Amino acid sequence: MEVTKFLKRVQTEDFYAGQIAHKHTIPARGARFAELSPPLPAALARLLKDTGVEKLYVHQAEAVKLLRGGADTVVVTSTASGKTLCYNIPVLSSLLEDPEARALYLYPTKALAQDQLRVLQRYMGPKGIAFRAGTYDGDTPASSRRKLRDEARVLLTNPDMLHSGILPNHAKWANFLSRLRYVVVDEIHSYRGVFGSHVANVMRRLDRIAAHYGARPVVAASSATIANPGEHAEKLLGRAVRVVAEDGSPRGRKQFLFWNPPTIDVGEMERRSSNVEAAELVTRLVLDDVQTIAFVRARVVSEVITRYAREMLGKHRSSMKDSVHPYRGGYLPEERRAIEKRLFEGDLKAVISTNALELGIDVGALHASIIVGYPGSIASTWQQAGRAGRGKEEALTIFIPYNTPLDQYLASHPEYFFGRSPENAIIDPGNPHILMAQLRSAAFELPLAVDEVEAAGEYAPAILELLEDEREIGFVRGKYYWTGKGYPSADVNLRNISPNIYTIVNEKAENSVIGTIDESSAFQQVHPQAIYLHEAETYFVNALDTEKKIAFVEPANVDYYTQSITETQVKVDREEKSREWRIAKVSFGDVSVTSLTFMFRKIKFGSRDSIGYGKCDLPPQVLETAGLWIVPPPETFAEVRRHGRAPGEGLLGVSNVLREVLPLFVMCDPLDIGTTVNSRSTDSPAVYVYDKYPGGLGFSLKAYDLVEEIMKAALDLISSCTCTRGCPSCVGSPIPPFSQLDPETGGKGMIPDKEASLVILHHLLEIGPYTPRALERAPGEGPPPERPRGKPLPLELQGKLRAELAKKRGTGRR
Amino acid sequence: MSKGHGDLKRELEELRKRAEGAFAAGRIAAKARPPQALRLADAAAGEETRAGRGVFYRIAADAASVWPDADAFHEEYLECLAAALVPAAGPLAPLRAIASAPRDRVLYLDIETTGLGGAAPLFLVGLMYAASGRLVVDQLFARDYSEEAAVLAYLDGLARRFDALVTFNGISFDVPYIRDRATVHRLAFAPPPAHVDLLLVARGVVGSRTPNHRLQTLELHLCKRKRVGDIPGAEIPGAYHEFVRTGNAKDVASILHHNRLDLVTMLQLITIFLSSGS
Repeated sequence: MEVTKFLKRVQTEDFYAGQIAHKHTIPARGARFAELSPPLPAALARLLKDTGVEKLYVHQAEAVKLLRGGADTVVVTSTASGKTLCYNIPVLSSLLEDPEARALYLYPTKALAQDQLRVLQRYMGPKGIAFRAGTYDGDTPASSRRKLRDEARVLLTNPDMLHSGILPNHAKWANFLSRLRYVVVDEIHSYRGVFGSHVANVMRRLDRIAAHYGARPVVAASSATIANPGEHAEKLLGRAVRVVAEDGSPRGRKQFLFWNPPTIDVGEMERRSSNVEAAELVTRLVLDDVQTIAFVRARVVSEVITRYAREMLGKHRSSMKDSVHPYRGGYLPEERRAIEKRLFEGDLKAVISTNALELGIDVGALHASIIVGYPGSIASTWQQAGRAGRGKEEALTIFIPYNTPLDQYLASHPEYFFGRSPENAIIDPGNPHILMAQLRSAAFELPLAVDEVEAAGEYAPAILELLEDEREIGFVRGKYYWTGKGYPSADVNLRNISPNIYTIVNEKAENSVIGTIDESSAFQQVHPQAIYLHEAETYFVNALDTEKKIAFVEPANVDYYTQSITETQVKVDREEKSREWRIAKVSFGDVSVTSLTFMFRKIKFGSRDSIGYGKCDLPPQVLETAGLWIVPPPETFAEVRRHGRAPGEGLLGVSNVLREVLPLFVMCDPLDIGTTVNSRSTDSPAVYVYDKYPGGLGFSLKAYDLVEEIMKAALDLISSCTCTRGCPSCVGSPIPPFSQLDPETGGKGMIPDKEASLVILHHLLEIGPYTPRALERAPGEGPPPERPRGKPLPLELQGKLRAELAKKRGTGRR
Repeated sequence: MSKGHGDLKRELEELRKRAEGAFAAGRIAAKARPPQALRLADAAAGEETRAGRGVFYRIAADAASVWPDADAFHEEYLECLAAALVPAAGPLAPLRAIASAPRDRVLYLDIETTGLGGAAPLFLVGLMYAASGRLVVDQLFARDYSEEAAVLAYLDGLARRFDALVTFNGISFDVPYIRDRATVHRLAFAPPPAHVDLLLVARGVVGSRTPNHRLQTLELHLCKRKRVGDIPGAEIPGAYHEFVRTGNAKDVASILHHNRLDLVTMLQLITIFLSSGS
């Protein structure tokens, strides 16, 4: 596309009011090729030529050589650099050389597996190689499963299915497993935290079962750019790997713009809607025939922007209206396939997607990507940016911040974006909770030998002893046998998502299913009277049946959508232990985190005006887990006040920093834990850290013993941060508080007072007195008074009061 | 001040009662009164047998020695087979495989396992066949999980000598189970060429005359026998694990008995099907 021309023209239009806040150019780079040695089988070389591959890039040649030589390899190159070929070539050549060879491909999502099957199918057929391949997942009909097991030479599946379907039934898979030559693990950066720690164990289980049947497959892994690809791959796969990171693919010049919506009031506090700005840009790009992908943070936003863009396009050329489409989780698989296909074929000009399209689904060459709101990590941002630009053509990426403190920080600090390295992926396969679940499955599959147990981590022998006490394991003649009941793999869900999925049915169309939604989102998005957006159309929710897990909706032509309001409270159920830590008290025990969706607001499309409220009558959702809480003494708060700062804000800043720091000490992903400030169960405000898993997974327990180290690290992080008033890397949490909501309608979050956090940490760690930067406040003005604290309202009562208020306000507004 | 004789007696009596209560509640039973552990050899006379690269415990006996009526059943069964003209079509047709095979080349089989599928080991293969005109029950028992391979190796060698296999639900359970377990141990398993699954026959012959077609239901309604003190199938895996853990064979005797009953009932069912059908 002609980026410069496009940008020039946009700037002459009426709606342009200086939105371009920053322009960053990523220069073009040429392709670098390499010869393959040894050469490929002639049939394969011909086939590659037929599919348009004449030469291999340096990274492809290196990866193919390593893999064919039997070296486990991880390829870490940019989006669209041809990573798939790195593993498809060795696999296809093994299929040609050995008529018995099999390969197993693992993808983090079903959609990706299906997409990659289509890629493989290009090599089949009369002019290609004769082999069977198929996807094996929860959607595979029982009638096809046996056939796949017996006949597929390349099987595409996901770690969940390997864990619960294939490994526990390995005898049925013996033929496949004994001939396994390659295991492909794609997108390994997505296997992080608890999910990644489980997958790491599943990989070890696969290794031992394959070894039992005499196979030692070579592993081909790929990863998006993360800080530690090699280390992560080795931990995940449990073997030494070679890292291929020298990207030989060509890249056109890329313009990376920061597009900040203009302010619209005198005080310069309000800005034009970022969603509308995004729609404006999408419209212009579509009219210019530029295929565009816009990434949004919440599902509802993909619908809202699509709606706006269609409306705008309709004004220019009504035939173009359907060339923009939302894409997100919750659509039916066939619907998603259809969108992917239309995008790939170029019939669809723009897709407004959640991060569901961030992974490598092949949708062809897109020329522009728009990132609406900071996705929460540097790695994600680059993934999304990387979706634009294939080959040598010039490409465009536009970041549109929301009018939230965090996004606006980024808008005014582009160097933050371009100067930082992406995040680490952290896993801990030896986490005792995860290991216990996995050892049960492993022992069920095949008795565990002593050396296997020794290799499984320092806690493994003790965990097995514990299981022996519980009569689930028997140690007989030097091996650990499963002696428990049932099917242990069924007790473990690798991902932290509720297995309860609601269906959304259209009552006006014979209750046909139009989409699905997980339980916790259902409460927030399809409660009675909500407006559910699907393919940019509005549906009214008549009822939500929590027993049958169905939301009943009907089409309704309304000019508003709804956003629910959920309050989350943490409370201590039982203090298990506590200790003095320097001048503060640290406790650990059972906590419950209760979320209550108690009301919703009606938001008018376009103007974003609230046009009414409603009450939600839903049961609270409770996460019972383990947590740790730190209660600073009154003197700490007094010290903060002495400097004219607000202790609550300082504490919030500390809790945000803990979310960044703690994962490094307890080995989890930031999304595996929650941190907050609350005073409901303690005499004064406390910082909480809790595990986001029922019953807990040991993160806060481990942190309990490491409070000193963790708090010191928190102080280091804030002190060494170069920002002046707090930024997303220190006291401002990069993770949006209400990920399900349109950022333009919900709470804005805040970047807390960095100086207050520093005073607190210095005081708690007893490191001399800290003198904060002067407050930007008129001289003589004292610190604002702290809000008084009384007895907290019980949650149910709160809900009732709010509902009462909502009723009053609702009628007042109308 | 010393207590009166009567007082002491009452106190002792009270103590004894309390202790009994505790025993009854199972609180201290295990420690205070260890149950007499039963050795396997005393629970079932058998011998350690070698097969493949391991050993297992084989309990082979004349059926009459474990089942007093066995000879009578066997005789009746042989008479029925001799007299019956098994129709070529209809629900009884599968029984032709038994009628046409030499009498000593029909193998009855029933397995006991530690789970319902896949990776859970099996530990008992109960077999029944005629040898020199006498009915023999041959039970291949793994004394612990490590002996499963030897059981399977022995079974493979033995099964090859037969023309027909008779099971109850063996098409969907016993045979695939054995095949999977053999695969795991990288052993062969070649079942006899013909397989008569009595569950399928019973469905056709009995229809809705019994509430369901479980073996024990058929036994009650058709054989007019009710099992007394039999170990329920669901308890068998736990009881076996307990034996492996403690070496106490008291439940092994019950499991072996349960397995023999299943085998004999199959034979009796065939007799009943044939005599009612002809």
